[in-house]
Amino acid sequence: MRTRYNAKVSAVRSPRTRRELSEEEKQPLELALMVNLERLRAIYTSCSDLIVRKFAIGGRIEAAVIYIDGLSDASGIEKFIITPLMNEENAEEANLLQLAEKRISVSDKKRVSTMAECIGAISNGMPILLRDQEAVGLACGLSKWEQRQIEEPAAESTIRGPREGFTETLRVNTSLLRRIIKSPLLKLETVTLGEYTQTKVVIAYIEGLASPTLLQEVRARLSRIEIDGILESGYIEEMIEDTPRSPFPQLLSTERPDVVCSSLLEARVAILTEGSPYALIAPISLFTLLQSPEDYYQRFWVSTVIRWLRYFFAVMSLLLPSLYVALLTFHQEMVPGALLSSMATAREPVPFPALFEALMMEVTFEALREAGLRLPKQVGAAVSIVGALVIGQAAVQAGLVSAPMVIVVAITGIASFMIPRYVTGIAIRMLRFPLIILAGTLGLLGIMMGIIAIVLHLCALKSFGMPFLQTVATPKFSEMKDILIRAPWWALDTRPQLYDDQPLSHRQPVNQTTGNKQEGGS
Amino acid sequence: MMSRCLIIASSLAFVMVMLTGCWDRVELNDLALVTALALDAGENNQIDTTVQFQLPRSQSGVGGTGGGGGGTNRETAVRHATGIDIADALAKLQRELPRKLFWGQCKIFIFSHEVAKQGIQESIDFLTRHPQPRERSYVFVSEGKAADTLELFPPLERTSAEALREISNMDLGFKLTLEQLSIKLINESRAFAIPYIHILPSSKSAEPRQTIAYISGSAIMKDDRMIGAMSEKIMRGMMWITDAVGEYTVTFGMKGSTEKFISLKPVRARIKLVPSIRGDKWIMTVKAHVEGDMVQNETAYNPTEPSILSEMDKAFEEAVRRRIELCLHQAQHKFNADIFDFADAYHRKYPRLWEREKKNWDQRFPQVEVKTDITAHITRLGLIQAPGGMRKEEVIE
Amino acid sequence: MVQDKETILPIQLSFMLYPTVMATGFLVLPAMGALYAPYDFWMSSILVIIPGVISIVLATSLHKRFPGMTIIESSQRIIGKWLGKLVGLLYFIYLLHLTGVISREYAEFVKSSFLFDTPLMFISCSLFFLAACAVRGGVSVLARSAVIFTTLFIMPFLFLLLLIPDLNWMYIFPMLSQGFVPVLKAEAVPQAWVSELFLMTYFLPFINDQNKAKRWLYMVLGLIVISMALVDLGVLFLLGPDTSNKLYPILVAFRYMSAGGFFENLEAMLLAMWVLGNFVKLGVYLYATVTSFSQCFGVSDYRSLAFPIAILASIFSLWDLPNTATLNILIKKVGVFEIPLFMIAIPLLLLLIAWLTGRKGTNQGGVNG
Repeated sequence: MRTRYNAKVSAVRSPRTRRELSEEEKQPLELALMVNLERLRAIYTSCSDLIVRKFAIGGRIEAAVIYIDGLSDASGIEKFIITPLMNEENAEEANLLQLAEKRISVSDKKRVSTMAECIGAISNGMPILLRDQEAVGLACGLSKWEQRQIEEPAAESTIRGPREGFTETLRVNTSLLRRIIKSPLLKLETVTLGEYTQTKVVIAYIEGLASPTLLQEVRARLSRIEIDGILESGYIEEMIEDTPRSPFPQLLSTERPDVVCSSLLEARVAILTEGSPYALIAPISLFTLLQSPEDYYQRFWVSTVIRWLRYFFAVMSLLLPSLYVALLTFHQEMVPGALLSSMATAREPVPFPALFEALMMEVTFEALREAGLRLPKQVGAAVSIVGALVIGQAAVQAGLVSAPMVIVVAITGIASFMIPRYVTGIAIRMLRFPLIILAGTLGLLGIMMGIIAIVLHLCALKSFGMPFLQTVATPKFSEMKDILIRAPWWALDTRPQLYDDQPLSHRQPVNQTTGNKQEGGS
Repeated sequence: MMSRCLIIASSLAFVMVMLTGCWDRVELNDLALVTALALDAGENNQIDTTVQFQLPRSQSGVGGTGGGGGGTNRETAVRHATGIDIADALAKLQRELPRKLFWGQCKIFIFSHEVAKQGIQESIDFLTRHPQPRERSYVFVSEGKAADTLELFPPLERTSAEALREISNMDLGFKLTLEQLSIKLINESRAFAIPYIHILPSSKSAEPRQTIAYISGSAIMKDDRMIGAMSEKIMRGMMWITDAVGEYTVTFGMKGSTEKFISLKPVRARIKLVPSIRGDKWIMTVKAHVEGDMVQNETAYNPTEPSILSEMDKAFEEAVRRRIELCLHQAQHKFNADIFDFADAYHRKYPRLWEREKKNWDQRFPQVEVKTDITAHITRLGLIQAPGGMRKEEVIE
Repeated sequence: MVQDKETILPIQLSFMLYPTVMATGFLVLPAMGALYAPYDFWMSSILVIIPGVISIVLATSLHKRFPGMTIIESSQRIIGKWLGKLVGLLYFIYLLHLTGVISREYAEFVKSSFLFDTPLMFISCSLFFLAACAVRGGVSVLARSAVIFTTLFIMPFLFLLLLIPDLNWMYIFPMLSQGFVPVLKAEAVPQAWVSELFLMTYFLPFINDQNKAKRWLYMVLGLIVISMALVDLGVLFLLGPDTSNKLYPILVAFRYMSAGGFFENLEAMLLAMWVLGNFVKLGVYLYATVTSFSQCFGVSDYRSLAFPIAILASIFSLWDLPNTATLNILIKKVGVFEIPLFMIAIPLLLLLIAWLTGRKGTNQGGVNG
């Protein structure tokens, strides 16, 4: 698949700037405990949060537990590792692993034999248990750190539907997925990315549904990433997209586990990142970006009508200001007579041409919106009312803008907020400005040129090899029933066919007997 | 390297587009919204154009009644210019206006009867060839100077053009759009009618020009010249024959009485023209099926009696026939103008014969025998039965 | 990934071919037909099914004989390499000229009816630029965008239903008053434009299911015939004998629309959809031109040729014809013979030669370049 991203990512880092594993890190553990401890201390110099707790197993054999304060469960270490081992009597006979079997009641244990593995375990909050005269250590799964509670995602709230959102901890997120999809066919593969951050990234998919070529491609693209650090899934998104230069995202980012699970059930692949509550879903089409999870929880008539409203307003948020400018400056005959004369009256005192007025108002509105995100909560409500009423009204009365323009901008703003996903809204908002300029210079012809350019771009866009406008531009009528309307559940019996080698494109047919039918017996 | 070239090229293109100016862009406030155009005959075969355009209202917002004091809120103004042809005259007119003439809202074209007598074909060429005049605008011929009909300030509507348009839209009378006019000019019958407008005398309490122009009768055109005018009453007949009756009130007397009348409104009609040729005789049958609801009964007859009702029906039928025949007589003998499109009907039914005979239409038309086949019914009687306000003894059953 | 080889669906081909014929068909054809048969020209729009069927049969038979090859490549197999290349060159030059004519027609319409001051070059070149972008993106991009734009192109025609109160049904009489000959004369121009369906030969190699393609092709032909007949009838009912005098009857129809005093003066909408329809048409023609060139001269990647050939074609559009009157004559008198020559006569000849000499193609088409 020819994508431009190949050239960009793989040439990111030359070997010289990549941090190599230092010599100390490559060394294996030595038999002598003191040597190991010395080495670890040398690696972790000036790390004041490293705790080395030396103790004696059964009072005779030297041992030590090493962990980072704040990442590990200190009381658990005392209770489950140090105390049982201290009370062990037959320390000499058993080696570390057998001791661990007998005494340590921690469930998740791993063997470590090199410094690098020790460092890896300690950085993830797993304390290392080292014993004298053994070149093997034990990493115990006692990580515990402060994390946010599961809350409703702020940007994706719904009226009906689960109110759980992902948090920054990977394990919590995968557990949320597992709670919904209990089948063991839900596979979670882990990859580590980021030089300094060593971030864990999980690829989630349902085996037997997801296409093997898709999985291969996802793995390949992730493995090509060489970067200093991954702080948010947005980094990954930009680096594995087909066309990072496009204003439209080609991966869906969501905070809701139910959205992720429904995508997994539609044979898509999800990518979860440690430290970010946003999961990425690939591949997607433009219509995925315009869907809200609530569409599937409400009744299908309601969802269908709201979907149409949403499509209409999405188009409005893109086109309304440009149509206003084009109609008023090029095609005045299209405006009905009475409206035209009242608009002419309204525009009499305004010194600016319509194009400039429109651009000014739109930019101001964008600034207001962006500023509104940063306002502290108490001030926010008052300022928004002040902003809307006072600024708008005063501007009209001062003759800076005309009243119809304020209405147009307000409707456009509302329309852009109807789009459920923030990223799509931003993309459309951005595209609005070139369209306004085109409308002001060439009228309706300019708008049409702009629309042609945008649609051409969307037609050429691919998300992991799947055309972005899949169901519409390559018409598949069986899939349109989920795009144009929201068909009721008994009609949604096929999955979208994303790739040619995707198995199982028919869902379990929804069996629904009507309540009236009398079944035999009670 | 390639992308740099692309960026430079596209920014150059962008700058070029912006620098040359947006060619067709006209700000809304640089437009003069023309509402009507009047054409008069000037001296030396010139044409005198008058344009009525809307004035922007005062700045006190949409709800305010600001502007000039006194009774009339003048919302329109007119401008004249004379030129060799309409395009020339309009070019001269534009010189007198600080804003560009905008024809998108111009729905009224008025020819003065002098221009109509001289021939309107050249004017029609301008109106249909030029991309801006609308094909759906209404065309009129005015009784006096066409320019006078534009300097009127109606009490109800904003502009006198709008008043004319609303009156036309109501379908009470005859209306003609520019496109229909263009078709009729090349039609087989070579004659047609254009609505004739007069200025309504203003009422006593109003300012002198605070009135409107209204439609009364029509101008009869043959080829493209006006040869006469028909009054409103006679026009009715033409509307009956061409099935252009919209909402109309028919008033008639029973049994030839000229004192007490019955009025029906609305009257609905389905009319068909059936041409036929027998030997050398050309016959046209007007088949009409007419219905009406009674709104006033001045007579003493009780319409709920079936026999009386059928008498009323017959009187109704007679009234319709009289109207048709009155108009027919005028058209056939006084004007010799086939304003009913009989020629079209013959052309459709006897195309080959028509091709041979059409040059003799001028002689034939007055000789066409017109038969009427009218079925008239009074369908509803309103809310009361016997004549209202009349004592029972006086009602004739 | 898997989708490296470009394919298009039969339904996309139909969506591409509809504006290829109808973008001119809606605009000028009614007036041209009305010139010869003032009341019967709508019948010629039904007769147009014959040249349509011939074009489809020619293109599909050629493709069946030489699968995966366009006419340029198959002509090289049929009459030898050098003669075939000559044919390819002829097609290239002719298509260049025709693309220029189409763009000129579009620009003239836009300029004379809507944007009076904008330079012709700008209108024409801007659409060429976008069409070149589409061709550069490849057939699949062109096909996908065609689906969307053709849908948007067709929808505003539903507004013509608003004209129903203004239509005079009697204008359809008298029928066949001068016999059938005027109808045949009126048929002259529409048949030339319908024969342009033959351009599907450039797209058939990308379609996997040829039988389904045939079905969709006949469907689009049926849709074209119905649309033309409806537009012809609508214009006839509205304008009657005045039809032949109008340059763009459907523009008059849109200007005449009025519903409730609100939906008036809708011709700007005609402009909007015209841009979309002509974009698809120009994209298809440009693609055909580029492919002819690349297959004639053996260029492997046609995409890089898109912009240069677009520039060339835009020069043709500005330079070929001095004014609208000449353009009118070109369509009325010259196009009647010129277009079917390339779209029906030459392919028919080639097919006959192939049938007589029994040449067939193998399954390796050289077309993915």
